Amino acid sequence: MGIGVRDPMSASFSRDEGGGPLPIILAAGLSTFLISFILHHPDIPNSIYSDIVSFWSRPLAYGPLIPYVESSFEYPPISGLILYVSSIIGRNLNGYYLTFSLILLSAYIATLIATYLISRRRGVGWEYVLMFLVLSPSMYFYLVYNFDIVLTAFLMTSLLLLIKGRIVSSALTFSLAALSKLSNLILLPIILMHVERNKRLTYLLYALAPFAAVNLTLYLINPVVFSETYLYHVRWGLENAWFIVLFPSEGSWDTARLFSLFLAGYGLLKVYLIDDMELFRRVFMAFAVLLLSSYVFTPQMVIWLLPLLAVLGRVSPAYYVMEVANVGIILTWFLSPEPTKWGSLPQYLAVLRASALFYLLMEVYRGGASQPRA
Amino acid sequence: MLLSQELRGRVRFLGNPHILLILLTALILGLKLYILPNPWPKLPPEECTEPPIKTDCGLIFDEAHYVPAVRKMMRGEAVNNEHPPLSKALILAGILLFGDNPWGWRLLITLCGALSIYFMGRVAHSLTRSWKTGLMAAAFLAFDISAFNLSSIAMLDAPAMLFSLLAAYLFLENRLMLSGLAMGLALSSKTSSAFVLISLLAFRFFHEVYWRDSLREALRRWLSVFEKVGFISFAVLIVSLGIYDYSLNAFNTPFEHIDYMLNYHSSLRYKEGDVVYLPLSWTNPIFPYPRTPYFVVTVTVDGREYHPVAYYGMQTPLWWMTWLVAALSAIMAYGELRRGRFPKVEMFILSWFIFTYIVYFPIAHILGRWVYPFYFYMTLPAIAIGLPRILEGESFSETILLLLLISQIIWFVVWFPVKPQWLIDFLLFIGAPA
Repeated sequence: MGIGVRDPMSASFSRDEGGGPLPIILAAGLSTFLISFILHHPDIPNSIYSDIVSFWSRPLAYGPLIPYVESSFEYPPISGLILYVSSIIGRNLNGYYLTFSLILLSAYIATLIATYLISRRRGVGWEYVLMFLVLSPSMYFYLVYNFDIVLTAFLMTSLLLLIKGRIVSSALTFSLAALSKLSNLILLPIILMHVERNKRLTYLLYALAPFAAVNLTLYLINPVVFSETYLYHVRWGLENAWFIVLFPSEGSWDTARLFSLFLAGYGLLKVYLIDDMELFRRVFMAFAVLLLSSYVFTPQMVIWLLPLLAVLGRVSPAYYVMEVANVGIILTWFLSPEPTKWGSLPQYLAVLRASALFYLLMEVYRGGASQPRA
Repeated sequence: MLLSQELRGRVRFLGNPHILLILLTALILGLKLYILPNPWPKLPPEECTEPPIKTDCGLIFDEAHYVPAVRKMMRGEAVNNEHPPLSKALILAGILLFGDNPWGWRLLITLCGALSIYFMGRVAHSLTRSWKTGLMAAAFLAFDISAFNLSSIAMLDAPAMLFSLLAAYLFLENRLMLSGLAMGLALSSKTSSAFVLISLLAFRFFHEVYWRDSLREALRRWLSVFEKVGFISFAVLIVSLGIYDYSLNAFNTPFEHIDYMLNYHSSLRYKEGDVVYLPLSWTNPIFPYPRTPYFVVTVTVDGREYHPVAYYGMQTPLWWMTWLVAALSAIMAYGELRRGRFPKVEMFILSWFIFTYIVYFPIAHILGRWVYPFYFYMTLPAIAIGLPRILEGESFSETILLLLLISQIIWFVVWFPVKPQWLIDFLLFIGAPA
């Protein structure tokens, strides 16, 4: 079910009168951020788990130690930098949490602005930005949580610059996204398809060179950085992956990882090979495929999808199911004695979430989304 | 007048290559049925279920694994889970139909082995559109004594070969979904059939890359083939494992069963000092792996020793041609490409050769996994098609081809596993091994 692009509500706000809807979006976004900030605040009794607070229990954060050099860190360099800066400036848990949150707030604002500008260029009503990036339960529960909003901010900015024809800036921002969380690298073939043939090499160079340079420097400083940072996740077990249904015993998870790799390879190849598909639909599909095939689909990763749903201008019943299930995962996680095992409530919710996402993926694939104006 | 017309009709009937292929298949089936009850067990099944399995159990080679496993399956035990269930299900069906004796163990498997000859001919014909090649390929495989032995006993290989060849035939005829179905049956018979699946997909990939304007278009078309063949075959494997797991309560899910199989097969590593016949020794006529006795009965009469029952695994003239076929196929493929034509037959041969034989080099040498010469059974179709393909066309080369086939038949006769007394006497008379 798609909502028309130019529905009455959209029309009334679309005109950029009196500063346009952006201030409204930003103000609403600020309230979302505040809710998320409070939900996870370490001083609030019974606050909801957040990776950010959990990092503080490591010497890396409270030390603080220099990530990758003095201590290992399982996220890419920009994430490490954010953690280090927050620890240095914050000094204690509260200060650290506040600093970290403010950095995430700036990323969130960048995401809101980029998504709004893309939506406007595509003729998609701004209420979708409100709905997906401000009112989605996942934003409350997973905004001040991990580095996903940073990835999203860089990626959406990169896509905005791309459609504006600013190839070099787009590529550089894309590189920053990869330095925050690797996952956007799977989008590179898609983006290259949308870049003029004679500019593809330039894009590739600017997208990969900074990423390679930073990682190479870290490697020269500490040769085990690849193993500690990137291979760390390779060794993880299944977490909220739907195919835990097929591999319920932990002993079979090596094969589950192979299965995951096969699914990702097949699914992405399928997305890359679709002809004449609009950029944002393809990007959404690639991320959806990655999440559905990944053996680790932590709930905060849904944040990658939300701005894309906003710019696609689509609301599907499956979105509500996905959101409820996604938030349900964290809310039931600590109620279950073994939350990663099949049979626990979070894993049932993960399967429900995957079903909803698959439905959304199929909808986008079949072009069920309302077609934006060029 | 009438008699001569009838005779001509019969000759014409025999001149039909398809009929000849069926007759060749029937001949091989007849020979297989002739040897089937040998050896006959002297001990009852109850004494031949738990190891150590004695010679008097009448089990040949790895039948000592599979027949006891099937007996346990009939008691409701999940055993031999490292292999998929279809071949064992065929053995089980045979036992239910014909009793727990060699007829029951081997009849359905041997039927698969004989039918493989027919489909060998069909694959070669479908590929080359030449019945001469089809018949020659079928004959080379039919008279390969190692293939004959292996496909006459209660092992997994004959059904895997039959369904693989059926899948290849349907694949070449572009009946992709049916091909996937057949490939699924092959996978359900023996896991290593996956190499055949990979070879078919690789062949199709090269085909698409050659014919399409862009790599993107080629990939798209190939992916569609992959979905039809790969997914369906995988689904069939999952269903077969699922039925087995559910009925014998073996694993939670068929996927966990696959995990077990993968782990088991990757754990079979040899260590220093172990005697391993590495892949090169399978095909090297100068330094071959030694003839492996599967089941040998020795009789000594008046100081003369002979073997009325002797199943061996060994090289044959066809195996010796392996590298020649591979090298000439590669050269011919290159030549065809230079002439602006797609080398369909050569690419098929090379893909099959690489993924069913060359693949064992890294597996054995790098991964250090145990490998056995009888794995080469699955490579034989490539050599059997390749040889006539290379040698057909000129009278001199065709004479060589004929001589090779004759030598293959002589080898077959000399090492025939269950020899009648007249053959033993004849072989002893001419000083040949008997």
